[in-house]
This record gives sequence, C-alpha cells and structure tokens, in this order.
Amino acid sequence: MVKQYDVIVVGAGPAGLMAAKGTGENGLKTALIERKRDISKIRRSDGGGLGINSHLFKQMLIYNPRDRRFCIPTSGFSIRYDGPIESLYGFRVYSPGGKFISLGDWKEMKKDPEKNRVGVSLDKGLLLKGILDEVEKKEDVDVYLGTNFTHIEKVNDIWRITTDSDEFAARCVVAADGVNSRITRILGLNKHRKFMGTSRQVSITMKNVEPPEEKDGLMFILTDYGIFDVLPLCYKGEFHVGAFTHDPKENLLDKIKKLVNEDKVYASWFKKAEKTGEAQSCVVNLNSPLENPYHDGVFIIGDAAWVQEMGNMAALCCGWKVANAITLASIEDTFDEETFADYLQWWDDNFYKPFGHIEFGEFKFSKYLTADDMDYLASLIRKPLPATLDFFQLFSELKIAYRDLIPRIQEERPDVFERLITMRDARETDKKQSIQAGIPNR
Amino acid sequence: MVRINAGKCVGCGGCIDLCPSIAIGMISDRVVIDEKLCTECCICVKVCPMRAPYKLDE
Repeated sequence: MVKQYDVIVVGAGPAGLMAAKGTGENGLKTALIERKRDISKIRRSDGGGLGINSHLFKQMLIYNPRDRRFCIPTSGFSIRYDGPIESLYGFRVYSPGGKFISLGDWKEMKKDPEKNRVGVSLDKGLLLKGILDEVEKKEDVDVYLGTNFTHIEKVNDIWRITTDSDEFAARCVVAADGVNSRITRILGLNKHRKFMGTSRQVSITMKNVEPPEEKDGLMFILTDYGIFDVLPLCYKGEFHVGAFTHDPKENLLDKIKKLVNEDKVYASWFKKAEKTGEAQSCVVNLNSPLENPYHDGVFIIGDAAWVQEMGNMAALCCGWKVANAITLASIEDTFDEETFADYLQWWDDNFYKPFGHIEFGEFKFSKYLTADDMDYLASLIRKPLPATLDFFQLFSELKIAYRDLIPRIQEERPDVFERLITMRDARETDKKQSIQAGIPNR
Repeated sequence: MVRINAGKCVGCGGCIDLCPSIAIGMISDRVVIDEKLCTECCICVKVCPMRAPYKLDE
C-alpha cells in the first residue's frame, strides 16, 4: 500500500532534518526517509567544523555556550547542542619545508575565544541526533530509518517515492539527499549544471598530534606528493588528518601514511600520535549550484542543490526556510513558483548569483612548483591575513596578498615567477583533466 | 561480479549515489551491492577512495 503524506523528505542530514522538523511542527503530515539506521555515527569524512561569528551566505551563526545553542538570527531559529566544542581561529597553509601563511593571529585571538573565534569543531553526529530526537517526537512526522530511496516519479499529479521497503506519495517532496543527489539526477536537473570533477577524500583521526605552533584552526599542508588537511576535533587532543584528490589513481590512505611516518618535516608532528577510530572517506561531485532549486513540487535543498564547504549551517537554513514556505503554500493550496518566490529569491541572492559562475578546480601546486618554490612563496607573507574559515574568503585573501607581491617575486626569483605563469596558463588544461577523470551524475 | 571488501569499506556511501543502476544500497549501515541490478559498469570501483569494491573475474 502506498503511504500518503503531505510532504516527503528524503535524507536526514542537516537540511532534511530541519525540513522535517519545520513541517512537523507546522502540522504537515511528513515522512522522513533515511538510508542509515544510526545517523549519529558519521561515516563520511567530515572534520565537523562550523564557521561562526561572521557572515557566510549572508547568514550569521553564533554559539551561546551558556544555553548550549547554535543560533542563526538571520534565519530566525536555533538548535540545542549538548556536545563538546573546540574553538577555531582560521586557516593556515603550510609549505613543504614547514613555513606557513596564517589567516588570523591565533595566539592573540585565543585570549578571548568567545569573541574572537571564527569557527568551532563539534560532533556533527550528536548535533544531527539531537535534531532527529526532536523530529521523532513530533506527532505529524514518521521517520523511516534504514530505508533506501530508489526512485521518484509523478503519478496522477502526485509525486511517488519508491524505496527498498515502502512506497510513499505526496504533493511535495524535499530532496535533501546530499551532494551526489539521486533525485536531481533522476529529474534531469544536473544536465544544465557545470560539472567540475569528482573529489575523493580520506581521513583518519589521531590523538597526540603536535604541530609546533598553535593548533586551533584548519591547517592545510602542501607537500610535493599531495595536499593534506589537519583539524583539531571537538574531543580534546584528537585531530582529523585528511587527504584529497581528483585523480582516481592516487591512493589517499598511503599518502596519509607517508605524511605521518616519512615526511621530512611533518612526521615530527606525529611522533607521539596514535590512530583513534576508523578511517572515513567521502566522494563529492563538484557541480555548479542549481539555478532553480524548485521543480514542480520538489524542492532541492542543502548539498543536493549545491556543495557548500563549511556550509552545514546553510543546509540547516535551507531546510528551515523550505519547511515554512511549504507550510504557507499548503494553506493556500497552491504550489507554483510564485508561491515560493521569497525562498527562490533567497536562493538566487545567496547561492546562484554569487556562486553560479565559480569554477572549483584542483590546485596542482606540486606539479608546477618545487618544494623550495613553495617555501619561498609562503615565507613572503609574514603577518597574519584576516581571520576566516570561509573557503572563498581564503582564496580571495591569498589572491590579494600575492597580487601585491608579484613585482617582488619577479625581481627576486624570476625562475619561480616563470613557473607560476606556467601554472596559471595550464589551469584550463588541468580543469579539463579533472572533469575527464570525474564521474558526473547526469 | 562486483564485490565489496568489507574490511576496507567505511560506509561513506559515495558509490551508492553514483551507481547509475541504483544497484547499491545501505542495509543495516553496511554498503551492499544487489547482484541482480549490477551491470558491472565498475563506476563504484573507480570512485571509491578506500578501494573497497573490486571486480571478481569468473
């Protein structure tokens, strides 16, 4: 028998949970479908960082430690979080020889964490489990865990969702099925998106990692055999150590082992380190944001509509806003685009307009620059740049800083300058290679 | 036949989403291939960062 609902939400990540919480609270009969049984165990590689105290996608997330709440005053909601947090103060980019460029003066900022931190690491599993517990208590929401979504189609003007156990029907569907969304693929919505490659990530967690300076931020390590990220986790003394690539031939776990055990500079960080827990991995298809995240009764929200780095917060906002928009549409009993004009305008202003044209690509520094080149370039920036945990700001700050240094590099190190030009000129070819090596989900 | 090495798979689900035949799912939080639906296109083999799926030659 087909189960009838007002709304079906596919995916119980940050976006889907907030959508189901919202529609459930507003009294719409809601089905929440999730393939995992235990969403508190995060199996995808995720440092669990959230940018706070600064605008990202025109939203502002703050953390109130006394009430243990993440609050988003720009969207008008808050979420209780009972787990631990660690303060983060920005990015650091390390060169192969151990020099670094800092975004944020971490040492100075640490004197007043609550005021100065630009992010926190947290236990994302606990955050999600907290929202799920609330959703499960709602009279109007049925939660189907361990249920695999398989198909979506329209039957007699009503959306039909097929899973490996049940069939569901509703006027409205919320596709919160993640960055490689099957729903966007089945509906043909990915055909018009720009595809920029398939990024693979592997990470492990370790304790007793000892960077020589402060360690309270997202540290990228550039080496001549790969790029790594090291991030303190919310459980004191634990770190995420990850590697990523677009190249299917690279063995990321081997690379992490090489960094930890053999690297001339960085193995010293890991002398006393011990692996804790299981490895995690992640596959991310890089697509441009959907121009229109609404398709005839189906809303595409969160990462399904666009991969948002450090953007769990944006996913929460999408879910909450869409739930309210659907509720109003249900009262009016009209589901056309005009009814959702406010939400669609919000999406356009925050995501499509600013990021629709952006091309993510892999930076292959070590293909063009020697370890010595990277050390030299890193050593040119002595003072900390403005603190941020926003990837887009990271790139623009670095761009601005190096733009001013170009004449100096040209004079001091014409050879490095030459190689930088070669790298720039090869950017298009490199992008094409990434796309060819990728697996588009069209 | 494509199999998953359970010792290597961490359950991230990347292959589930990118499988064009919807032949992979999560059962009790473990990634499982439905042999009846699998067309042996091996996209899962290519995409997995942990190198867990492999093709079994008959």
